[in-house]
Amino acid sequence: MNCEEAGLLMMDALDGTLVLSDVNRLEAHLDRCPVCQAEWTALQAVENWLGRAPLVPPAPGFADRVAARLARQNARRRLGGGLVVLAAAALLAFAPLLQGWLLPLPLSPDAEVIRQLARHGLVVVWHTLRGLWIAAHALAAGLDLSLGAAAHAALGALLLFLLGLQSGAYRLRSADRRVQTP
Amino acid sequence: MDTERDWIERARQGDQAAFTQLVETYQVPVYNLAYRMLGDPMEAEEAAQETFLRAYRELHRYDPTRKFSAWLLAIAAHHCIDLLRRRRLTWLSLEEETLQAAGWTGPEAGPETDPEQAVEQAEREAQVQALLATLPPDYRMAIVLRYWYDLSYEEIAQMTESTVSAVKSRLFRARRMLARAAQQAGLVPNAPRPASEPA
Repeated sequence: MNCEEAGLLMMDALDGTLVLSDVNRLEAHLDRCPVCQAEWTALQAVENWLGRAPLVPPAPGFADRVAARLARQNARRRLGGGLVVLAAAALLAFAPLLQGWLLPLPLSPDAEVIRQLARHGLVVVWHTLRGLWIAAHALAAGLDLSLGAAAHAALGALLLFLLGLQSGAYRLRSADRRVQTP
Repeated sequence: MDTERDWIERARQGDQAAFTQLVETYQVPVYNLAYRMLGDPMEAEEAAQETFLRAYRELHRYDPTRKFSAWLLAIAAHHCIDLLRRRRLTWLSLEEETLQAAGWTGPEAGPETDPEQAVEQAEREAQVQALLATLPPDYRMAIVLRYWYDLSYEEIAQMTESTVSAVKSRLFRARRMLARAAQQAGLVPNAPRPASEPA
């Protein structure tokens, strides 16, 4: 047996899987090879130290520290979500200005009909809903309330609806101005 | 374990108290793994906390057919290996110093321990940590999982996303490296020089 094979058998011996015939062969090699004998002594010493080393516990209060960190993390996530919604609401509030600056003003062929609808309160409804939207989210963010997935979906749908209303109202006003301009 | 399954299910639904029960149950194995890998109590605390936070975020990915402890330890193992690799980028070799165990402030012995035993235990701990510090991260992980968690080659391979032969090879080399480090540190007798080699 050479030293390389002896090394493999030493590993089997440490794992407790060395068969008896190999035990004898390994012992015979160790008897005549001082290098392998020294390595075997060192391997056994290391095995002994590792085998006796205990599981080290964390400092007391570990679970509380994790719970506190988890709570902070969740609060930050909720606040982040609230800020995104607030930003969207702010964007919505100032959208008419942005729209006026950035987009050309398309005139609907049914402008006159829509204008009549507006006179019956569409613009009032739009401004009321928009105000409610902003107030609800400012309150939710201020109180650090968590909005569930369903609530976000419902608010998202409402946002789209309001955007549609806003677009219609803006076109109405544009149409109105054009009609009044000689 | 039905209780554990219940905690996991409740934690998945956002119940932080149930998750805290899981933290209480697994804090020692997770912290120990981090401590044995990183060698520093503060870093180990941070890594163990991060392991649990990641586990909480990833609970929806946990496969209940696997052992929860194995899943959790795998998260800890990957995180610690990442930390060690990042650390290695700016790390000078401290093997000589660590082997002398200078200034090691590891776990303290419990109050019931005899002072003499406590000193002996602290010295032994220092030796073990110093020896572990001589190993590359992958080898260290194999040794830690094998000796502290009594895992089979197959379990280590699964946990470290490796093969059984790769794990065997890592353990083989890691044990030899540890033995040589112990010899060089004078913890065990050195191999005799061949007669032909000059002194």
